[in-house]
Amino acid sequence: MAGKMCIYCGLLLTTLTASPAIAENGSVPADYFENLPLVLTASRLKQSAAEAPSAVSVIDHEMIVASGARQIVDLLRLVPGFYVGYYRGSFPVAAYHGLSDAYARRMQVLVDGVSVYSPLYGGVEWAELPVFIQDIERIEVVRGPNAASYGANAFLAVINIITRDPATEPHVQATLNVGESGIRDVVARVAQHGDDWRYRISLGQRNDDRFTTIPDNSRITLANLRAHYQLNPVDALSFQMRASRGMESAGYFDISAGDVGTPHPRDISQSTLQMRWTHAQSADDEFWVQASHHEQNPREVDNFFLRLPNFPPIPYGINYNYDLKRDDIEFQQLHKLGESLRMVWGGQWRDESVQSNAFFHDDKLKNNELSRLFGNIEWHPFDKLGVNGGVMFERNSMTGESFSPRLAATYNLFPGHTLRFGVSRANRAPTLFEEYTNQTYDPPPILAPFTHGLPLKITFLSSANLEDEKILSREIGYVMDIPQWKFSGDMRLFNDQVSKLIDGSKNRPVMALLNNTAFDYYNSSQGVHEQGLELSARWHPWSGARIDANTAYIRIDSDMPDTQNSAPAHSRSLLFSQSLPRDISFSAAYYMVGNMYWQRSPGELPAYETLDLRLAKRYRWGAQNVDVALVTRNALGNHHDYDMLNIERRISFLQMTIAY
Amino acid sequence: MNQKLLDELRQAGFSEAAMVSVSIGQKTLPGDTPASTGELAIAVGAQALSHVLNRTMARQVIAVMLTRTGLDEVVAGQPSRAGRDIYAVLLDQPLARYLNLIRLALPQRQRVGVLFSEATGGQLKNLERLAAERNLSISAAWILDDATFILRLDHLLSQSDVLLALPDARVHNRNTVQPLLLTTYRVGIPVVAYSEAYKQAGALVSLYSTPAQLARQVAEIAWSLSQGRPVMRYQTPRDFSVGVNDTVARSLGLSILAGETLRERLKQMPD
Repeated sequence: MAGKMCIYCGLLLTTLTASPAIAENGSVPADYFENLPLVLTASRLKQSAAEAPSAVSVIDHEMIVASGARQIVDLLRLVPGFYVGYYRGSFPVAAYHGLSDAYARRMQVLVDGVSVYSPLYGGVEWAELPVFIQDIERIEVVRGPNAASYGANAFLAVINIITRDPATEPHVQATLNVGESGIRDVVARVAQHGDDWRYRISLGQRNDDRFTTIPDNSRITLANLRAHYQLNPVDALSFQMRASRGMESAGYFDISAGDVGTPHPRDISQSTLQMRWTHAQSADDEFWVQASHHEQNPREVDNFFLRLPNFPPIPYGINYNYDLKRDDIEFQQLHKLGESLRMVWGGQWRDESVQSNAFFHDDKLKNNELSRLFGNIEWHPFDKLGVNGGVMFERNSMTGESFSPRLAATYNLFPGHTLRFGVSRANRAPTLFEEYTNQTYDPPPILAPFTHGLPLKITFLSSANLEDEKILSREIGYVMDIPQWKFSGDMRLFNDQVSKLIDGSKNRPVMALLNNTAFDYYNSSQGVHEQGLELSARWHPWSGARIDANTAYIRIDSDMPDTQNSAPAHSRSLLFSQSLPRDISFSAAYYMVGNMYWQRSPGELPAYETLDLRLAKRYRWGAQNVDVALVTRNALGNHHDYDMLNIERRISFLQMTIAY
Repeated sequence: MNQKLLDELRQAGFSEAAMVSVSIGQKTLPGDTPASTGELAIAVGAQALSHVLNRTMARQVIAVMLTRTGLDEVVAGQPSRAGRDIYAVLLDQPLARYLNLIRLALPQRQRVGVLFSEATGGQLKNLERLAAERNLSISAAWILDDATFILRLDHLLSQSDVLLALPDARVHNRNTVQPLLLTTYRVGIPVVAYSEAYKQAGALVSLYSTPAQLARQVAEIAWSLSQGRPVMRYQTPRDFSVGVNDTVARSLGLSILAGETLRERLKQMPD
């Protein structure tokens, strides 16, 4: 048979393999012949709420826009249990589960996988963080400790800020905010992409003058570059550079001229470089290694007159300058070991150092070198059950070795309803400030002959040798996802036992001219017990509408002073947005924070409710969009923020964005 | 592809001696000269078809691994097509098959977004009719240039529950796969695509025919022609595969039937 056919047919097989010419001539989709880059790989994907080993809140781009927020930190109010205070206009703090002053030291914060937690004070300098709110893809907040994946300081929560890939950006976008309270913001963003590369440059400046009662006007310039190069379908390089420079005012108006704390400027300066190589064989099999370098060099001098008995006023300056550096190398490997077994493991080395005569009373570099190794396994022994276990082994040069395990199980009761149980341990290393601070003020040279070698004053003097704080956290979660109702929600019952909390008091005897006790840090022998309930829900009740609602309750039991009311017992948030015909959209964000006390602030902060409103209209010209929005903050009127001196007023600003 | 095709032809009974493989693009290897004068040529890809029409005297040509758009472009630009019988196994799956897949895999999603270029826009009317028959609605966006891709995609996604990617190199290429997959993922809209590579890159589900499946169909056409039986000129792929990206499905919180199950059920449905 075959022989007969061969007489008939002369066969010509003209074959093509991967030929770019084909893609160019446009007739055949290129990916029939060549591999496309792997776009949605494990490190880019978010874990579905039903499978996550802990409670994760996601603030997505839609919420970011609808909230009307100008600053990243304000978005965290949309996470159950979170609350935000402004110590001053350019010094906000976001906290969760209390135990916080102006520095929330017990949360890890990452930008695209790189920690921005301050090794000096702990917490994050949110206002000067060189990330534009417009550049954010989403913020994932892990509620509860997650040291098994993120290491020390992932103690009460972990905040992951994920920026938008330049590939998804319009070519040019410019935003202008103009309004009351000195709001003058301008942001220009440019994105370009070709076959193998893409980048975005964002440049902008934020100006405001938040409180009229304190000097806190600020002008902060931010710059941000994110670039990618796809080496081949499986290998990609990415690079980021972020920097901020600026000036903010500090001090107080009600202090007589020439005294300590009169209004003075503080110069901001920080820069970060980060690079990552990703090798993704498949969505579940990925390796990456990243390196980053960070520097921060703020400058602040409070000049005043020393007024001593029998002496004329002597000019004196206290500076709060420091030079901070951080170098970090990290790798992670994700494996799919089988249909029901996935594993991620990795390691990290980090060195953080600060030089500051102001805080350490010498010019020596204070540093903390850290190395860690972690592994995490996700196992589905059968369809309904998921088990997630992880361990982190960590070593740092200040407190030595630590071991943080975590175990969680999820059980799918029936479609759309999942129960979660979790238990985990975490620790927080002392900050360089807590461990090494020595704020000793030497007398001015003119006084030296009279002081017999004594310093003028010693305000902080750490006894050092602090140990890590420890937390044991247990939680029960319930996750609901009912697509036909367009409803999803989650509930988290938590029970956290914190021990060896680093606390401080002004009880260390010192020899100085003007005082005899200094503030010292120690590990408290008293434990802190936190328990409570958090609920959150997302619902699309009708066409174009979306509701994100959260409510949280917490009870803190402790014999330590100033801890019980360090978090509001009740807090709530509700974000409603509605898109209307003719490209009009409306949103309202309501927040309620119960009465509480920011540690070391002058006094208790009464409960407050606040409402932010946003009305926007989009104009289209071809593919160009112009968005005009009016945002009113604190529509319900004035309330106190952080302490009784700071008064939030009702203010409005106009926002214009052009994109093409 | 060529190896798969050779295997299939061999299985269909074509002897090895008669097959001459000519590799890459328009170049013909020295060994193929006798064959190029033969009566039946199989052209793999658009360039190969163009080459066959230009440089050989083959009276019957079976084209494979190209889309209908690609085929039309090649044939229109070839005066030498006269007197030839051109047959083709196209890459384009029947539009109804895609829509059936959406109904099966994502029954909750009814608003289907599709990106068209000028080359493929002609399918819109037909797609709308087929969609209406299946209780689906189509939103279309036109990609005229790369510069406005993101803004047009964003706008389309605001009116869609699922994005259907149809083979069209002007819309879907290496340059657009990143923005398309990242933007759809951002808003939680799954992508139903047309190739295995697209699925691996991050589409939720893909409907495609493998080279082996296409080769089998080509071999059958060749066999029918050799027997002098009538053959439909342009054929959509008869056999196909459905691939599901489980990782993406899990992340989007979607429970999707297995690819093989979807394929079996799709086969029961009329195209």
